[in-house]
Parts: sequence; structure tokens; C-alpha cells
Amino acid sequence: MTLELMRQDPAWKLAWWMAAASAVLWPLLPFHSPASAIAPAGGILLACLARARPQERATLFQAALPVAARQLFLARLLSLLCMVWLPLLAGAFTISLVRTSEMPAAMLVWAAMFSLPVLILQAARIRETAAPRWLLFAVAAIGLPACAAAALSIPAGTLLALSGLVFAAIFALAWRAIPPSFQVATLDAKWVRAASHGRRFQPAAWWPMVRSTLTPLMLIYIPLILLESMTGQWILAACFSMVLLGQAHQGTRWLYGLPVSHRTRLRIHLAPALLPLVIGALLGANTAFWPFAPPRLVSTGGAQFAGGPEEPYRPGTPNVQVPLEFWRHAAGGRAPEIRAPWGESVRPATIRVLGAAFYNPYETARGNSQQFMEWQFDRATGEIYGRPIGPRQLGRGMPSVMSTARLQILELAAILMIVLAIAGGLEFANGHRMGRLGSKLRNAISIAVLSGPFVLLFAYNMWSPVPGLISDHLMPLLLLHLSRALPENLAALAAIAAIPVIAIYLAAERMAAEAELGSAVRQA
Amino acid sequence: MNAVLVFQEIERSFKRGKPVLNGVSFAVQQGEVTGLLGRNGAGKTTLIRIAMGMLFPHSGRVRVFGLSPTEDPVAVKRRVGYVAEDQVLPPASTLAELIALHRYLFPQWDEGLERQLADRFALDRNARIRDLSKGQARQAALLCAVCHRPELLILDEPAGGLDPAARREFLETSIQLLNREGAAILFSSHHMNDVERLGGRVVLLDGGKVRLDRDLDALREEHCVAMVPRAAVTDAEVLEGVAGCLRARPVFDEWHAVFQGTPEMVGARLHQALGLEQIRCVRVPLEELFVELLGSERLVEAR
Amino acid sequence: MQLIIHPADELPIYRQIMRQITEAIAGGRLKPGEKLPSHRDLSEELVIAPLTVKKAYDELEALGYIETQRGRGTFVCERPPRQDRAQQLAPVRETARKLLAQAYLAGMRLPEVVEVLRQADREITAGPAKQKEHV
Repeated sequence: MTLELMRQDPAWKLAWWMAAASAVLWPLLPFHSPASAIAPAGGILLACLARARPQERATLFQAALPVAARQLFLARLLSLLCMVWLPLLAGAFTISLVRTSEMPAAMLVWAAMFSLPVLILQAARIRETAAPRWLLFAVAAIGLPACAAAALSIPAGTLLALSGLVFAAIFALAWRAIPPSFQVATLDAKWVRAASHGRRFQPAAWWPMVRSTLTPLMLIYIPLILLESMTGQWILAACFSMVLLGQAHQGTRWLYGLPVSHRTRLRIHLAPALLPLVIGALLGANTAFWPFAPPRLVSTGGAQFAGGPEEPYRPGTPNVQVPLEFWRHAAGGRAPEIRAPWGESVRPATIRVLGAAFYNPYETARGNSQQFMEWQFDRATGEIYGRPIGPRQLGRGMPSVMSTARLQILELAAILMIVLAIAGGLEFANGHRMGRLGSKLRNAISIAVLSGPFVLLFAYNMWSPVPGLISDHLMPLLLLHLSRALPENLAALAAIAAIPVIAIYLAAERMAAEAELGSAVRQA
Repeated sequence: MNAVLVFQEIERSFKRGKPVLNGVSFAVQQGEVTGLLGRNGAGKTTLIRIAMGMLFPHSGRVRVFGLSPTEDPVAVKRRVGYVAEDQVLPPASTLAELIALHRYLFPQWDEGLERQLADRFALDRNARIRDLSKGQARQAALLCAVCHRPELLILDEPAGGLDPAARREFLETSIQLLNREGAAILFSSHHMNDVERLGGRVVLLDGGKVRLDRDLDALREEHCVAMVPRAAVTDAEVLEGVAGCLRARPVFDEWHAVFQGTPEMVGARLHQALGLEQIRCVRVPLEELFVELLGSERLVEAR
Repeated sequence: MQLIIHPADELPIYRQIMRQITEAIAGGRLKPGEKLPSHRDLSEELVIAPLTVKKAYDELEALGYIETQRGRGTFVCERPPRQDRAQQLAPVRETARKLLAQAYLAGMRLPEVVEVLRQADREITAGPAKQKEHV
């Protein structure tokens, strides 16, 4: 019986899809340390969990069936735990097949840790069919990050033991407290807020339109998008914004009956997705306090790139690393030789991106001396910070280097283009021309259009020689390449960058004009 | 009299090869009341959505006030009031906010009517839509749709799931609008009593086409149902072959055949064509007519 | 005016109105020259479409029972059309025979039928409100 119930649970079906996707993707994703991977992993888990309604123990339909509440609880809990464990197990397994790293062990610890919030959600207010909704947000906002922090800081052994004990304790308590059947409404009457008369603040007339795009789920997604865009993870931010755009579409169905033009509708759809992205991008580029922002320092550290025609670097070799915008284009595919005043020289390795070669002008190779490295370091800090700073003076507390204004403009334009393209793609998927095709064909085209670019990017990531997530190097490099071709004047640059953005926006508007309130009328 | 809403050969399907609307044409004149009837899934909501520009027809034309609802949606919707069973107002907003939004979107808002309706429906302006009952939410939707004095009122099963008192209030408000504004009304409903009260014209959709398009009273007076004993006729085609027969279906031990004509005429025709005597022919209310035309066959269960 | 309409009745609504108004005139409840409610008022009172009311009024006007005076309203005619007595005698006789046949088949006697007729007379002259008392 429990197995039957599990099979019908959406979480169960989702768990298998997630496991398959995990098994394929985890070895390909270039996360080398658990710390860098836990945030996106947690975010995606959260997104999928949210779809499976983790605070619900039984649907209205199930509550009416002659099934004991204990079985319903067990089935639901197991399905949700599968959603947590199966993908992580599958990913850990495939990673361990491909290479040795500390990730698999860490992933198992994460699975154990993330099981706790799931159990808490299922065990709260056990006598009713669902836990209160605010608990879901509390768990998402506080519980998951707390688990992530714990997973990173507490050693694995103690963590596993501790979480196992806590899990068993909560489970035992809940199991004993389960009633024979669930109540479908809250046991206590709700407090109804007295209607406030004569409110001082009157929102603008158009406020309900925007308000209808906001779902409680966005409380989770918007900070995620902010986080991802501040740390420069554009691809993930774009993925999440796609979810937001989809949600906005659901919420604005009522606008079709009102005299609201398609342009207004498009803008309302875009607002919740675009704002956090743009704000996050600007914040990430211009503020220094965020602890997870990639350090844009001049740093010494292990070289990460396998070298070109010169000798390959091995990790641990001191090297002067600078942000990619200070890399230079290697004309002819070969970097020039950098010669120090006393004769020592190095020919930096190049990395190739889409046919163009770039090199680090401050590179230090294995065979160079400490003095050479310090000389390169001085040169680097001189160009970036404006004055030479020795490596010993450059402590960990050095603030991030400001991105140049040129690249900020180009980055902003690129983000806007991506999100507007996604918005246009969604409107196209809802369009009436698509409505004429059969549903299978329509779904196939929608999935291809909306996820195709991401799939291509991930595929590129698989084969590119450059480790690190695509957003880390592909976008800055492309923009760098582009920036060299564009005029010096900032205003002209902004104008030229604005042209494709406006073009894509107009195309999205055209798509929105053709959108219709699709899907066949179903009996309510 | 100019036509407010015109459908010309509308075709629309959701699955390939299974059209929901297969050449629907009719027009609604100014000040006219038109009831759209049909079984569930006959395409009433689809047709209404096409009129509102929410769906594009695969072929055919629709014109509202002479404009295309897909090319000039704002101009059309400004003059239309729309209430649908599945058109839910956003649950998180309060009624006051939604009224403010409608006032902003529709320039010709009538505050007197708004106050009158809010009082009659006893709606709390500061309540959120999700805290209202279904009937109250639908009344709120009606208020928002009607207070800007639309020239065309489109109602898609507006009284679905409402209690009789709420349904009656809905009717009263619609009739009031009819009286004051001379608004045209297109409504689809399953409550035949309400359809009879609102009167006007009846369009019956079946099989993707317009099966009947008559004035309601003419429909009732010019059609009757003949009840023929099962044994007298072998199968439905024989009956349907008689002139004026729209449909014959077996109901236990009788055939119920819908004829166009008065009971006397039909009796005479049956006698002439099939030699049947003393056949009971009655005029029926709209609900019975609907069931006889569109209902399934009721066969005797094997014992 | 106390009109009651039933949407699902055998008669269309406008015919029900016509019949009730005609009965009221015949029974004396509506006096000649009395003013009838306007289309709008009657439609809002009965919760039916104004055009239905108009149709009923138009038919009654064509039959000569009521008349519309421009700008003043609709009134019962001063001289309602008298049916030709001789003409109506045959149909009334026919209806009487049907009535008696039905009653005798149900086992009723003539005095009981006469009582039924008296009751109907009371209803026509007194109006629908009184009908409830006799149910």
C-alpha cells in the first residue's frame, strides 16, 4: 500500500528525473570543492522540492480514502526523502566513477543534512493534512542555509551521527503523535485581521496587476537570483529567472479579460525577473562586502590552467592571477614573451575561447624566480590598483577590484539580452501559432527553444579546456573581446550595447501580441 | 441596428483532427440578449474566449464593435464587461484595490452604480478576494465588470456553482444593465430557468456547429416532442426521416422525437408518414428541449 | 400587480403574463383605464427580460386589451374587446365536455365539479394571493 501511494506521489516521479539528470550533470559540472557547489545544489533542490509541496502530508483526495494516516505519512516522507537522496546518490556515484574528489562524501553528508528540514516540514502540526505555509518559508530561508553552513563547518562524522540522532528522535515523536486520520483544515480558527479603515497608504492603481505575478515561491527565488547574479553566475540566474517568468505568466491570466495591452503585460511579466538580476549585477560589481563574491584580487595561488605549448603548470606553482578583463589578446595565437629588466622572461600560456587566444600578461612560470614573481606582482597591482603593492602587504582583507565601467555596461546589456530572450521565448511558447500544432510538437518546440541554449552552454562546458563554470570565464572573455572592438567613448558604447537589447525587447513584444490563453478548457 | 459581435465561420481545435468549433457563425445585435447553450465541452467557453481575443481562431473572423479583438484588444475590452466562471480575480488583492484598478483602466466608471451594487451585495471592500466565498467573489467580479457601463456584457457560466439567491441577484443586475444601458448580452449558462428569464435569442452549439439559432419564445412555441411507442418504429432513422424531425432518441419504452411544428401538425404528419395514430405531442420547456435534442439514449437495462 | 411567472412552465413567459393580465381584466381585478407598470419596472420586479414584457404588452395591444399612450404609459382599454358570444359558445361547450369527462373518469360527481368551477371563479376575480388560502 505504501509503495502504491509513493508511486502516485509527484515527488517520487520527480525524484527519478532528478536522479537521472544528476547522474549525468554532476561529473560535468566543474565544482571542485563542496563549498562552491552547495549553494547551487541547495537552490535546485529547493526549487524541485517546492514543486512537490513538501508541507503537505495528504491531498484532499487521499484524506477521503480508507487508508491509515500513518501510511500516508510514511509514503509521503519516503517520497520526499527519495527526492533528496536519489539525485545526490546518483551524482556521487557517477562522480566517483569519473574522478576522485571529496565531492561524493560531501554529497552524502548534504543528503543527510537536508533530510532534516524535510522531516520537520512533514512532522509539524501532524494532525492536519499540511504544515502551515509560513513554516515552508522558514525552512527554506533559515533551515536550508543553516544545514548548508553546518555541512561545511562541522566534520562529517559528527554531523552524520548528530543528524541521524535528531532525525530518529523527531521521527519517533511524530510517529507516536499521528492520529488515525488527518484533519483537512487547521484545528484552531484563524485570526482574521480586522479590516483597516482609512489606510494611510494607498498603493497605485496598477498595483494588483504586479501583485498577481508575485507568488510566495518568489521569496525563495528572488534572493537566489540576487545571489547568483551578484556572484556572476549568469547561467544559473537566467535559469531561475525563467522559473519566475513562468510563474508570472500563471498569475496574470486574469489580465486577459481586462483592457491591458500586451506591452503592459510583458512589462509586468518582466518586472519580478529582471529587477533582482539587474540589481544583483550592479551590486555584485560595485560593492565589496559580499563574502561570496569571487575575489577580484590580484592573487598568488596555484595556477589552474593547463598550459599551451610551454611547459604545463601544476597546482601549487605560485602565479600571479588577475581578473579576466585584464588579460590580453594574443595576436597570432601565441603570447609575446614578457621580459624582466634583468633578462628573465616568460612566455605565458594561452587559453583559446571560440578561436581567439588570450594570455595573462602577469604570468609567472615554474622556472621563474621569486623576484620575477614579485616584479610581475608589482606590475599587476600597479595597473589594477594604481600603485604597486607587494604580495606581503596585500593581505586577505583587500577589497575587490572595481570592474571597469565598460565591462559593467556590456555585462548589463548581456544579462538584459538573455532575460528578454527568455521572456520572448515564453511568450512565443504561448503564441497562437504554437497553438495550432499538436500538443506533443508544441511541447517539444517549447522545451527546445527555452532550454536549448542552456544545453548548448553546458555541452560547451564539457569540452572546453577551461575549468570553472561557464559564466566565470566565457562571458567576461567574450565581453572583453567585444570591448576591444567597440569605441572608447562610454556613451557610444552604451548606445551600441543598447541596440540589440532594444531589438530583442521589440521582438518579445511582438511575441506577446500573438500570445493567447492557451490550453483546452478543462472542466473545473 | 448594427451588430455588436459577429462570428463568421469560426474554426478552432485543440487536438489535431478534433475541432471544437467547426464553422460557427452568428451575430449579436445592439441591445440583444443571446444565450449560448450546449453540452459541456461543446465549445461555448472557447467561442467566448475567441470573442474576447484570448484565443485566436484557426480560421474565420470575429469582430466586436467592428474591431478585431486580437488586433485591438484594448479598444475592444474597454467597452466589454466580462465575467467567467474560471476568470478568477487575483486572490491576494483586496476588493478596494481591484476597484481602483478597474477605475483606472475604464475611464467611464460609474461610482453611483458601484456604491449601489456594493451595498446590495454587501461586500466588504477591505476583504481580500481569497477570504470571500465563491458567491461573493463572483459578485465582486460582476461589480467590476458592470460598473463601467459596458456596451456588451459577456457572461461565461457566471452563475456556475452559486446558490439560488446569488444567481437571482446576478440576473437582477444583468436585467438592470439591460434596462438602463441597452447593453447587449451574450451569456452561456446551464441554468435553463435563468435562460428563460433573460429571454432573447438562443444559440445551441453541438458538434462544433450551430444547431439552433432561434428566438426563445419562437423556439418553444414552434417545437414539440412526440412520444412514439418503441414497438411502432424499428429505429431512429425512420422517425428522423419524417419531415421536420430534428432528432429521435429511445427513452425506455418510447421514442422521444423533437419536431419543428405545432403538436397538431406533427400528429398529422406522423399519421400521414407512418400511419401512427393518437401520438402524444407536447410543447416542452427549454430544459426538456435541450435534453431531448442533446441527451444520450436511455435504453432499457437488460434484466 | 401580482403576477407570478414560472420559467419552466409549459407556456413561454410572455404567454404567462398575457394570460394572467387577461384573467385579471376578465375577473375585474384590472379596471378599465388602470395603468400598467412600464416594461422596465415589470421586468425588474419579475426578474425577466424587458423585451419579454414588451412582447406580452404588444400582443395584448394587438388583441385590444390594452393600449399605449405616448409619453403617459400603458393602460387597460376602456372598452375591452368583447368576444363574440355565439362564436365562443362552441369552444366553451367543448371544453366543458372535456372537463366533465375527466372529472367523471376520476369518480367525481356533478356537484363537486360545480364547486371546482366556483373556486376557479373566485381565483380569477380575487387574484393569486387568495389562491394560497384554498390550496
